This record gives sequence, C-alpha cells and structure tokens, in this order.
Amino acid sequence: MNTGREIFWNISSRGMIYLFSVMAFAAFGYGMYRRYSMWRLGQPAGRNDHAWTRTKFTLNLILGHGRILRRSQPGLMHLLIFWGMVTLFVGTTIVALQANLGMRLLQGRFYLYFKLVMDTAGLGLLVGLLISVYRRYLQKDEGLDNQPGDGAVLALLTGIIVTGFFVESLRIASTGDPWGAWSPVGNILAGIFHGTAQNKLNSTHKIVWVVHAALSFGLIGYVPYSKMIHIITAPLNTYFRSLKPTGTMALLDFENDGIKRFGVGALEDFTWKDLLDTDACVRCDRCQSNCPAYATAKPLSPKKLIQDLRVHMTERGRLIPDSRNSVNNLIGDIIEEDALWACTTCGSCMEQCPVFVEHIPKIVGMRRNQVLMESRFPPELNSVFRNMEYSGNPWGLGQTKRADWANGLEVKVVAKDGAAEYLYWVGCAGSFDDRNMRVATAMVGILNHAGVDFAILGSEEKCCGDSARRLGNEYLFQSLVQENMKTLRSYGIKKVITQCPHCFNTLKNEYPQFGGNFEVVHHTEFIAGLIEMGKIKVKGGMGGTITYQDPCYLGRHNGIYRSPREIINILGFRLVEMRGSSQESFCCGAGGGRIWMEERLGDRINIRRTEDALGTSPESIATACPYCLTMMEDGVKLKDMDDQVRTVDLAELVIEAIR
Amino acid sequence: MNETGRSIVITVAPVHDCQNPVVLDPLRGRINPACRQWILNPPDMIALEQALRIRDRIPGFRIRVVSIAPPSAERALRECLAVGADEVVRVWGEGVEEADPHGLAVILAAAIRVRPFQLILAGWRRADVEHAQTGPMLAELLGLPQITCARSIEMGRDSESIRVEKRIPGRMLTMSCSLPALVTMEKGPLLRYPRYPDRRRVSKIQIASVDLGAIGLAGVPPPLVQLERVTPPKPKRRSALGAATGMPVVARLQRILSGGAQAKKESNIRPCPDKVSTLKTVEHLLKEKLVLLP
Repeated sequence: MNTGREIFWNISSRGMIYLFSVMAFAAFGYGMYRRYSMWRLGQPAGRNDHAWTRTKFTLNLILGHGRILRRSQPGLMHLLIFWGMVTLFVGTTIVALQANLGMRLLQGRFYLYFKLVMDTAGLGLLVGLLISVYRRYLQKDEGLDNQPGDGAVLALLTGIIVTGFFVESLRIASTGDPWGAWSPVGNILAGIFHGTAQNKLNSTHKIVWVVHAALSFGLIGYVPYSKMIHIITAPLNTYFRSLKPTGTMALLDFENDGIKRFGVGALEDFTWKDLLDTDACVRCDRCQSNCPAYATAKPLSPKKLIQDLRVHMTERGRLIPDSRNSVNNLIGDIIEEDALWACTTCGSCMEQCPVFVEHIPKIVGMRRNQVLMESRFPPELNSVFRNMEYSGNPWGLGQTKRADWANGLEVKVVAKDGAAEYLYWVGCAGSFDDRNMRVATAMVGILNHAGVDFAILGSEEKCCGDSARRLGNEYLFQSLVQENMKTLRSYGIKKVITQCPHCFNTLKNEYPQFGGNFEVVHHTEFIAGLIEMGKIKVKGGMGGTITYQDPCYLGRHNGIYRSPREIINILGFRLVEMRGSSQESFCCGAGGGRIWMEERLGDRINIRRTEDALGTSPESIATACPYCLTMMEDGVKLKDMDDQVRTVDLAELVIEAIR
Repeated sequence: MNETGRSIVITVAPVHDCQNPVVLDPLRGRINPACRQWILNPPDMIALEQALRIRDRIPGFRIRVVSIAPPSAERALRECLAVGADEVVRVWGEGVEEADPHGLAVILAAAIRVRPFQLILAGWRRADVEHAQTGPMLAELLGLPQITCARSIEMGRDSESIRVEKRIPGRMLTMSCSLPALVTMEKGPLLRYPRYPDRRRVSKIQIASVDLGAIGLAGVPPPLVQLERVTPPKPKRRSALGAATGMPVVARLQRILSGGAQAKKESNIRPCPDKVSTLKTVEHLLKEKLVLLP
C-alpha cells in the first residue's frame, strides 16, 4: 500500500519553519536560563541522592499522573491535554525526522495508525481545553484566580489545535487524500470545504499553515515566560522532592562557628529547591483549599506564599536591579508576619500539591530567622520557650513532678527499676495536663493488662521539643534533644511507645538526626498489635456512632490511618467518617506550636473542625492525640454539646472495653 | 564610653524553682541543696528587662549585673549577658550560703560601691525565700532613696531622676526621686528572649567572679536575726460538716454532689434546662435534709 503524504505539500517557504524554530528555541533557551539563574540564588539543598529512585518516581508520576487525578474534573482535563500534547509532539517529531533526515517513516499501515492516533490526540486535547475553559470561566471554580496569562495559554493552545485541524482538513479537501478517513476529525471538517475551488483551498491552506507554525513555535518560545514552564519545572520538582517524611525539618548546624545566619531572613537563604518550587507552582489551589489557616480567615495562604516568593525571586533575579524594589524585606514586606505564625504545619498543602512544592520548610525556615536572629515572635511564646528550657515542659511546671500522674499506679520508673523492654514516653500533656493524664492512666492499665514490660522515664523525661522546632526555635529544640538523648542513651533505650503523635514523629523521624536509633510506635499501632496478638481481650459490642479525628502528625505526616480504625472496629462502634478524613483530614488547629499561641485573627480552627465532627451526629468523638483531644473537647463544650457528645482518646475506649 | 559613670546595676539571685517541691534540710532550715532546681529569680529578671528598656530609650547606660551565686549558676547568669547586660559579676565565698538578708545586703553593697552607678534595680523579693528585705537594706547601706514594689520605671531624659509607678490596694501611685536611687520591681514585662548569635557570643565570655576579700569584707556578717525552727506546713485539715442523717459521710457527700441522681434509677433521669435542674436539685437537697439552711 503506498500510503504517505508529501511533507510540506503546498508550502514553498520551508525556510520559514527553520526561522521560527531558531527563534523559538532561542527564546526558550534564554527564558529557561534566566529562571535557572534565579534558582541558583539559593543555598545547596542536598537532593542529588538516590538518583534511580527519584527517576522511577518521576516517570511514574508523569505517565500515571498520580496526585493530579485526585480531583476528577481537573484530573481528566489535564490527562487529556497532557497526552494530547505529548502524542502530537511525538508525531510532529516523527514528521520532522522525515522532513529533515529523509527517513521514510510515514508509510504503510504505520502511517494510517499514525493519522488516527494524531487525530484522536488532537480531539482529546481539544476536549481537555474545553473542560478547562468551562471550569475557569463558566463554572468559575472558586479556587482559581484567573490571570491574563492563564487565558493566553488556553487561547494559544486552542488556536494551535484548531489551526492544526484546519490545515489537515484543507489539505484533505484539496488533495482528495485517499486515506482521509483515517483522520476522522480532519475528514469531517474537510466536508465543510466541499465545493470550494482548489486554488482557494490551497491559498487558505498556506495561510493557516503559517499561522499554525507560528503559534506552535510561539508556544515553545513562550514556555519559560508563562505557566507552561511547569512542563519543565514540575518534573524537575518531582525529581528533586524530599525523600524524607513530611514531618521532618532540616538540621541547623550550631557547632560550625563559620555559619553566622540561621533560618531564612532573605530570599537567598532559601535553598535552590525552595526557589524551584515557586516556578513549579501552577496555582492549582489544592494547597489552599484544605489549609486550616486559610479556611478560618487568617492571613496565611499557602498558594499566595509561594506565588509571592516567585514574584520576589523574579525581582531579585533581574539582570538590572530595580532599586525601588531591592529594599523590600522578605519577612514583613513580602511575607506578612501574621501569616508566618498562622501555620499549624498540618501538611495538607504538601500532601495535596501535585508538583511536590514544600511549603512547611519555608515557613519554619522563616520562623527560625525570626526566633533565632531577631528574637521576634508572638509575645506569649517567651515564657513557653523559657519554660521548656528550664522546666522541660511548656507550662513551667516542676520537672521533679513529672511522674506524679503515676502515683498509685503500677508503673515502673527507669531510674528506680531499670530499663524495661519498652519505654513508655508519656510526653508533656500526658504528664501534666489533667485531661490527658487520664489517657496516660488508661495506657498504663492497657499495658499492664497485656503484660507488657514497660517503664517510664518520669522526672528524667523532658519535652521532646516538637513545638520548639516547629516554632523555629531550633536552638531550644537541639538542647532538649541533647538532654533527652543523653538520658535515652544512658539507659540503652531501644523501643519506645508514645501516646502523642508529635512525640512519635519527632522521636522517630527527627531524633535520628542526633544519633537516635529507636523503634518508635504510636499507642494506636501498639494497641492494635496487642489486640491482634490476643494479648488484650476486649468485649466488643460497645456500640454507638463514633467519628474519628485523624491527627495530622499520625495520619498525613506518618501515614497511620488504619490502626486507629481497626481498634474502633474491633470495639464494635459504628464509625462515620467526617467531612475530610484520612489524607484529607482537617487540622484541629493545635500543631506547629499554635496550641501555645493566642488565636487572635479570623475564626477558630477547632470550632470549624468540631462542626465537621458534629455533622456526623456522633455519640463520641475519638482521637489519638492530646492536642486533638483538647481542641475537639473544647470545641464540643463551646458548641454546648458536651452532655451529648463524648470526646475521648482511643486508649480510654480500650480500657473501658477491657474492664 | 563610661567615664560619665552612667550605669545601672541589677542584683540577681539564683533561687529554687518553687514549681518543684521544696525539700527542706531540717537541720539548717534551708532548701536541701541536692534537691535544688535553680532558676534566676523572676522578679530580678523583670528588673533587668526594665534596665534594658531604659537603655533602649537612652543609649549610653552600662548595665552591670551583680549576683551572689555559686559557680554552678554561671550558665544561668550568661543569659543576662545574652539579653544585653554589659557585665556580670559573681560574688561567692565561704559561708555565704548562711547569710541572712542583712548579710547579703552588706555583701552586695560592698560589690556595688566599687564603681559609680546611677540606679540599682532588683526584684522585690526572692521567689523562694520571700523575705523582701535585701533590697531595702541595700538602699540604706548605700544611703540611697528607695521605691519598692514598682510596676514601671521611667528615666528622665536628663538621666537625673526617675518616675516610678507602684500599686497599692485600690490605687496606683506615681512617685519620683532623684538619682542615684534603688528601685525594686514587683511586676512588669518578661525579660526579652535572647537572640541566638548573642547566646553564642556570650558562651565564650568569662564571667568575673570575686570573693569577699576582693570587695573588702573579712567574711560574711553574722546573722542579726536567729532562725529558730523550720517546719513543713501541716496539711490543711478538711472536714465535712452537715446534718446528722445516719448516712455515712462519704455516701452523703456523693448524694449531695450528684444532686440526688444517685438515688434514682438511670432510666428515670431526663435532661432538662439548667435553671430547672438547679432548682430541682436544691429542692431535693433541702427535702432530704442533706443540707440545712442556717
């Protein structure tokens, strides 16, 4: 079968395409170079490890689309646009190879399938673009802030695909392509031109061809100057993403006398990866839509944060500095101080972001600068920091009284009774907070019932330091860790059970930065394990509706969603999930050190979450975190529902089921 | 820089953190040194913050911290340097631990009068022992006017006088006096938090320490007031009084506290508005003679 078509049919000025391509690639190259030089303003980021893992993950994400598909409408839209463009690009490359290298690729059956695939891809692309236009301008999705550039890109892409189909259909109409049916769209369109004079078809074809070529190459050249840059930066950003758990913060080196600045006080203090993040962001709004601060009218918007940094970086990266803008302070002018302190570090932004932008390290980085270098932070934190330093707990209660909660209980203390198989790390809340002491007491009952050999550190335990680190007080965090590590090492502690997800996250993921090497388990995991092993006999059938608040530091940051739900199931409750659960869970508002701060702006985050919980009409609200327990219980009280709804930790439910 | 002698002296005492139990050495009537949880006296820290604020407004003052403290308190004293004090002098010697407020005042006076000063600021009392005498005695020994229990202090632009606010029951007094003077602080803003670079800088500074001889004292002055006995407080006795109804005390209390709900079957208890339930509870208590009106 002698299939095929004449490349450049009807086009006399081939030189034009070469001219366009040179201009396009020059613009592209220059634009990318400028952006690259801006990223290089930042500090080293140490992301050159595990090249194969990174490559695999990136390819998987590009081809499989991963997080983009979490939302069906934009997911479908992007899938169509992406695969449409990629297919057409590959197809165009094949044509270019034939045109420039004389390789007879477009022949035989291959050519026919080629035509079909191209047309389908083009159609898919068009459908995707239509969905996008619909979403952006008709449905007016509230998260999308439409800028002129967005419309320009859509118009450009639409223009390319429409002119492309017309080039094809004009050619089919004019040449009477015998295999025209293999390009269904082009073929149908060609029907419009039925009866038009051939010379008219040809001259129109020439014009539309040039327009199509100009637009297509224009697109390539336009990439670095528009949101289209994400076709380069998103895969790059995915490749260089952090391989560490999201609840981990970078270590500051205080031993090195040569380092004079700590934290991020100016744009150049960010790492180059932080700066690349800003160019990968496409303002999809997924970070903002579940942000507890944004949802309660605080000045923090994760999307705005990244975009403002991008603008700032572009200003700072100018070849010719603009003196008007060079005196802007990062913190204060570019980023509002109140926005910095509004973050609860819940991680929803980072969990949802399809291109793996890392919001939390930037915020904590800036907090570090404010606390360590400027001593500038919400005033109520002054005594919190001092209390942690001198008393080993944020309330400033007596260090020597840390084990008083266990008076009268069967609890071994390491100092007196020696290290046991497990260390039960009680945490500050379990040791000092009245409500949470009951959880610790329940834990002791459970562990003893199951015959677990455990001990507590008692008055030798100090705050794990989670709040200190999240608030940016890295110096205080490191002193607490050093003190705790000394104690833990001296007793040869290996296995740790925690009741607080924050202690759990810090001991498991951050203490290794200081040489810690422990098997750390959260009490829900541990209890679920004990039940499975038959060490705990629960009488099921506790009955009643219950809903569960996923703690951010247990769920999102550490991926533990199943064990708590297993426990609820085994106890015989009827679990009704709240609006937004598991990975989409909404923060209780206490993380990031916010539990120690006044909530002066906007609405109260815990009220918002309590409303979600009460919306399931539960008899109980279950939690697995002292912060969530406090916040949800307060929320229920404020809603005057505390005589109808019980807020409780899972350990308390288990101990009731045992008795 | 300091030829004019414009300096503010802060006296700082390391004290036991009373959030932790006070464990007494009954023989000596002191807090058992082995169980001491050291912190710097919080009212002294308030005084230091006031001094720093004065200097923020009127640069040129030198802030000197004088502290009667053992060597183990050096680390805590560094915080004074980190927040901005220019100098810390630590005084210690044989028998200083036994000094009474007067003895301490004598030692402080000797250490302070070595150099000229405009103002002495101190906390109004120690957080652990609470005599509140050392400040006033120090002022007398140095012949200074004194204002105690201040809430705020403002230095005149000419650095010749101060204006102080203090609170007494029912009213706020504004007082002024000329310098040099001594003021003790009762309340005020917390000491500022040190910046990390300052912490690092002062970690290498040697804190000057002087013994009693260096400030011209032969030894610790003997106590003027004798300590006879130190006893732990007796736990408060709590008694439950009420009408004799023949019911055991604890059961009666439970009945009272539950508002009578204890006596009823659970299925008979219904929720109702607060006001109604309160009235019903009181009715029940009176009816059952669980409480009697006088």
